[in-house]
Amino acid sequence: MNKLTKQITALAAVLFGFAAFDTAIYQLCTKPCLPDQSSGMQAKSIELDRYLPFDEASEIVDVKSEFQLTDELPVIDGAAALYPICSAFVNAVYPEDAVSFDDDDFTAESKLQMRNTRAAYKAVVDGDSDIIICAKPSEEQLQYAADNGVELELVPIGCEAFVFLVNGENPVDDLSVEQIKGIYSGEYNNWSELGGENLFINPLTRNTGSGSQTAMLSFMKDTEIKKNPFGFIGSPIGFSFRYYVEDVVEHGNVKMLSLNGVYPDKDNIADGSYPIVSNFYAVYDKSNENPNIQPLIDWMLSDEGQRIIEETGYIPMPAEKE
Amino acid sequence: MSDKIFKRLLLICTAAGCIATVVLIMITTILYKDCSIISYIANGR
Repeated sequence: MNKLTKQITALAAVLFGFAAFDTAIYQLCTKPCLPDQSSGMQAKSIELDRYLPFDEASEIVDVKSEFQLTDELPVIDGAAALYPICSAFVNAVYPEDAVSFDDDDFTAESKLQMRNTRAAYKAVVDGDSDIIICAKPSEEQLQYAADNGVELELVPIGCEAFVFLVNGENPVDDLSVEQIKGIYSGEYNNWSELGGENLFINPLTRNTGSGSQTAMLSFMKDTEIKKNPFGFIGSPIGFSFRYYVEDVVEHGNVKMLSLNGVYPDKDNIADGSYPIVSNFYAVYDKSNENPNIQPLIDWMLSDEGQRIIEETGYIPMPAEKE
Repeated sequence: MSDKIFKRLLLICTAAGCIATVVLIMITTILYKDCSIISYIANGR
């Protein structure tokens, strides 16, 4: 091999080496982070203006109640996934001028806000919101309330399944509750240990203080969550609430796992056979003197309020047994 | 090709490769911070 050939080979080897390395990084790390453009994912992006109250084009459940509030309107706020319910409640019982929206977000005067779980818990403690519709608070959120001398009242108004998600091509369809705990505690690190392919398990978690992360910590109880250091080159598992992922599961490359052989559909959640069902709550500051808080929550628990929850896609509270 | 030109080309190729890798890692980090867990699962394996 002459000198020129050796030099060209060396240059080509350097370029090929970088190209192969960068391709591997792209496939393993960059590609999974790209926004999912599937129709299900697009449909589930909670855009405020798609679920506005008093808007003919809105996608909320449009019910007009005989129960109407006219003054001292509680400010309603909550989790993004529960925003369609908040908006439908406001649409049903508030006057139209109670809500103002400036193309991007609700104005400060609006009686409907959407700050998401973490900010909503802060807002109800700080007195910026009167009722928030959220999952159970985290330890930090309870501590923040206690530090500010606020006692929170949590009234369950509906329930939803806590679901685990994997890629649609993952051959695993069902896991036991103990296996899920084993994945998140580091006992299982490879899908082949659970009947899947020989790939590392990448157990994903959410931001601290988000409703689903709080639910996950509650599910794991005292067991510490551990990350798999090689998980990023493997196949992920994550968690969420069923409603939030329903459309994505239907149209995207994601599937919900059965737990203990029970799939998280509406019937299995309602009859209690699906093992992890969480309530969501109307939360308020016990010392809040707004006289309409209790009547409004009573209405949320009425047949009409519960019908809005059900038609939005969530599970209403089970009827009390006589 | 003289040794001097070869070394210069080798240096340019290496530098370009390093820059491309660093840019890719930066883009990946930014995307990872913003990406939803569901997108991540859908795009994964």
